[in-house]
Amino acid sequence: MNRYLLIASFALVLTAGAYAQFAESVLPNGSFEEGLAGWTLSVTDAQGLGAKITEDPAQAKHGARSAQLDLPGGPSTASLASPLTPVEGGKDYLLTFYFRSEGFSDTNLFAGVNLQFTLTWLNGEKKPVPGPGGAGLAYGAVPDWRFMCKLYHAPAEAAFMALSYRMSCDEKGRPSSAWFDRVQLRPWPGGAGEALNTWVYRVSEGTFNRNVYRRVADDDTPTGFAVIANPEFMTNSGYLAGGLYLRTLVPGQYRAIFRLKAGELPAEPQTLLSWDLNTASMGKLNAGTISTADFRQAGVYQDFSVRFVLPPDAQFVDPRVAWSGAVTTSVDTITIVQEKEYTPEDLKALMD
Amino acid sequence: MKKLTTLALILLVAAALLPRPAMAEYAADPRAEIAKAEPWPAEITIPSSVPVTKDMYLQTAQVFLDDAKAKAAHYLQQPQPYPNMSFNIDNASWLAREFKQTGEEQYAQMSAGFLEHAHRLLVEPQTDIRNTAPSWLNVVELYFIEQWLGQSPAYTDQHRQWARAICRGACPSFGSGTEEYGAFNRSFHRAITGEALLKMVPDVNEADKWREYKEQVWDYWWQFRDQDESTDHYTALWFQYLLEWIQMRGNEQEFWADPGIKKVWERYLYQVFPMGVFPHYSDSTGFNVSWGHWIWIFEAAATHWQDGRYKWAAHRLYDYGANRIEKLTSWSYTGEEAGWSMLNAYEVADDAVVEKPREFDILMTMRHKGVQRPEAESRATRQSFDLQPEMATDKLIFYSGSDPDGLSLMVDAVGDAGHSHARRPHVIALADHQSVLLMSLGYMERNPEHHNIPLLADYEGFPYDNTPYYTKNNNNLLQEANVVDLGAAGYGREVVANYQGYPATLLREIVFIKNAGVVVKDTVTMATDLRMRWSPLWRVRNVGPDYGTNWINTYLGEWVPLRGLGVNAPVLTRFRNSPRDLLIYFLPDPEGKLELVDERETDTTIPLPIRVQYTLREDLKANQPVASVSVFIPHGPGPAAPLAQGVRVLVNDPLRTVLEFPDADGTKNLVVLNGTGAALTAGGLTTDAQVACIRHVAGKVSAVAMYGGKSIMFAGTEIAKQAPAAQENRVPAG
Repeated sequence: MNRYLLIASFALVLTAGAYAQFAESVLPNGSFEEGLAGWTLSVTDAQGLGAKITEDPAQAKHGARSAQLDLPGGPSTASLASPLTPVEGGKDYLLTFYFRSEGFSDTNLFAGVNLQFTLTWLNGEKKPVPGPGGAGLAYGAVPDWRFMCKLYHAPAEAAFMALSYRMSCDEKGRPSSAWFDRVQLRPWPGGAGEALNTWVYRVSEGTFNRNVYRRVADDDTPTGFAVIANPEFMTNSGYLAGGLYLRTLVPGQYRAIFRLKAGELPAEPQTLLSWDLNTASMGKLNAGTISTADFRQAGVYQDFSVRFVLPPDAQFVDPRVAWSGAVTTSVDTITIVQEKEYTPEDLKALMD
Repeated sequence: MKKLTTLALILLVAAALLPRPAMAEYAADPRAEIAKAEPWPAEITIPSSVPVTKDMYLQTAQVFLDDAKAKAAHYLQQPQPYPNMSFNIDNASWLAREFKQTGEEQYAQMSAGFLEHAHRLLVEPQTDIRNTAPSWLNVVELYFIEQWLGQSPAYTDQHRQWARAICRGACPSFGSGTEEYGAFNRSFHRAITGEALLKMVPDVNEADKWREYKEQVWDYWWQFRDQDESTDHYTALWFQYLLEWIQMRGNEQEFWADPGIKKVWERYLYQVFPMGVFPHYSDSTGFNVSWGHWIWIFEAAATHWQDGRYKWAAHRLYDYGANRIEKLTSWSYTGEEAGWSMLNAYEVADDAVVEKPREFDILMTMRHKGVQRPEAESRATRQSFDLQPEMATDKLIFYSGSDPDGLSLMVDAVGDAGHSHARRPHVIALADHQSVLLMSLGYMERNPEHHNIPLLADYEGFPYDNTPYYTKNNNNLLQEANVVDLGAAGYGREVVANYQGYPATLLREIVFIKNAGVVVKDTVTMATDLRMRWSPLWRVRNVGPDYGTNWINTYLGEWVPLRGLGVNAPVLTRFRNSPRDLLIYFLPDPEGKLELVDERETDTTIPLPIRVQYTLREDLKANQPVASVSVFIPHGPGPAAPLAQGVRVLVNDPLRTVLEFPDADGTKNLVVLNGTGAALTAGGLTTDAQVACIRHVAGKVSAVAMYGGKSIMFAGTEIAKQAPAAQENRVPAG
């Protein structure tokens, strides 16, 4: 519940530009300037094909070195796990890194070689706790360094985080390599910034899966309409909201506000929705879930605010909400609030 | 006017003191909406061009001819051509046209100069090449430039070769796979390009494909002498292409002699409101957008058929458009392109043809039935619609004669058609005293609440078919449409199944009382039990100065805006409106609530920002109809309370409605809608009519209209014989 910033509180927190946007990374040796020191390497290569993880002194996006994962084709895996990094539970962190790759697939479809990253959150006893995970990286080769940027909310119980890059190849996969560099995990200050611009999108205008969900009468919205997911008539499939494909947002800091209503609040909390800020080129800028416990009252609209950082070259941002199928849920609007438009200096701080 | 303003102010203050009633979240406070209203100016003066002559068309176009001359004086003196191919060819067109009109050689020289510059863009290296390549859109222009420059010495063999080089560059190949088929504007545009191209460059690449294509498009449409689109905007374009095409084909004599051609023209002749506007509908950029094109289209018909009805329509359109457009040059489509069409109108018009009113007041336009191909087939064949031999309904049209001040109404009754939407039976436009009272929104306003049709929605997510209107769907299926002229009144009805995608049928009945008002009864019958919110809905721009629990005064205001596509698009053109208000009165229902929804916050330029609806939240039962009745009473600007208080509801249930309303002239209009098949008695009236209208002043009956019965006993007298026989007018007939 606490992770969602209630709209009413926005006016109280007008600190845009005042807070330290880009704190130092808490993840050690993220640029591999000390080689692979602190990182844990794991390779499976039953056939002795030559899978390996090395530091690459010849290629770097930052500094002089990067980490390189090589799979020579055929069944094998390589995993590179970061040192356990101390984090503060309940706080936001911005994960950024660069990667590039060779081999993989010519079609951008899966061709036997997979690359992904995962986040593991651990408590003070270094036992895993549930929290937001990672994502797959491109199936196709990425010849030029690509910047990745994701905002994470550390679980309340979390005391450490471990980031892992994993590459796998099946018997059909071609020889492939991936490089990683400038991995940073930066504490992201809490609170909402001042709204520079606000755009309101009404989901009932058509940005939902019409095959599943329905535009309905709703006397509690400014248009008189909403989009509803009702287990009596529908099964969970597709996006209850999604498809805006916002292409005009400039790099900067934003928040997305999902205005939602739950029909009932079961005694036993259930995950009601998952949300994300999807992009064309770099996956999800932020993602999470909303539980029935996050609603204050059944049958009343409530705003759920989530933050994201938009780097250049995302092509589009698509705020989406997927329904779990458990409880009747309505969505009214998605609001995008621009809190900061990045200057060249900001972008340098973000990406260098 | 001053008295009215004072009274309006008093009412506004009084309304402000009333407590805000309990309202849905989306409903605006009527008092706040009234406070935002744009007041009518104290006086609106609109010049007149009556009697219109063809010379006026030329005068209107002169601003664009002069502009082309000014551009020639500047750009042709520059060492480098202006780096835009269409700019040079467009100016060459205007100046070639001026040469044709005046015979002055200087304009031929200017035109030839622009052609030379256009050709230089083709052959000389350019710094900025964004707009220098020729487009297939230039080919028809080049053909006509050559026709107009004719034997001028300024247009040399070298110019002819340059024009052909540009044509070859514009159409290096046929472009197989991008062509479209069928009888509609885009296929016609490409086909006339082919026609012009083959005349200019007979051995152009893939000439056989161009030839086969244009003939295929011609042969297809000629089978039907019709086109498949239902939109004022694209239809006007289609007619323009057609008029150019027959000039190029050289078959004008055969064309104009063909009875099928008269039929398709007549359908649109009857869509011109007597005030002089062509209402916009379906995919259209807005109000009266193609006014200049229609003038050309109708002048051509007037001359070739020596038919004064078309002359009447063209003159009305000119008088309205030329005198009411705010700024002719504000947008090219309603300005320069309209001016170009007026040059064409000037050339074809015959002032000896005398204006003549149309025959019918109340009618239904007809069209060849269109059947939309499934999406996969449409993609594979590049044709979206098949025309059928049989005729189908198009629009219900209600006029009060040919007087420009007459009350006028158009309602959509079209089935599947190109660039159309499944919004049957929405009210396209209502006008009175040359004032627009109701109209459609534009191209991108695609939700049901954007149009003058009843809203129907459940609360729970019943799995209705929510296919968007603008794609092929099985919603709002037209099952019946009919209209009859009953003399003093007209009666229209439409039955629509799968209404808004629900298992529901909508019956919309319209009683149009000439020069008095309109009664619209909407009856919804669900095939299942469902809690629904539903309402008649009318889009307006302004409300006030007064309102009641079940009525509100509305008006469009001094300007009718025409904007670009989409939310917050800029206003491109405005037409000045005449002052007239519209009382919208809903017959009271215990469940009904007058609601206003203001969309200005999210769409600042929407021409009709306010939804006026009388909302009912009901547990609808299967096969048990429910109905809501709207009454429209146009009147002079000012409070509507005196009219609203004069409405008497004698009977109102889903099958029977008897009401009386006073119109602006003081006549009382007693209206009966009786779907029971049995006689009814109410308010001194006994009748077995399905529809009746009795107009009376001080107890004296001035007019009687009746449909579907034999007897009307009113105040002890049988008056049915005073009702003229009902006429079913269809245009085109047969």
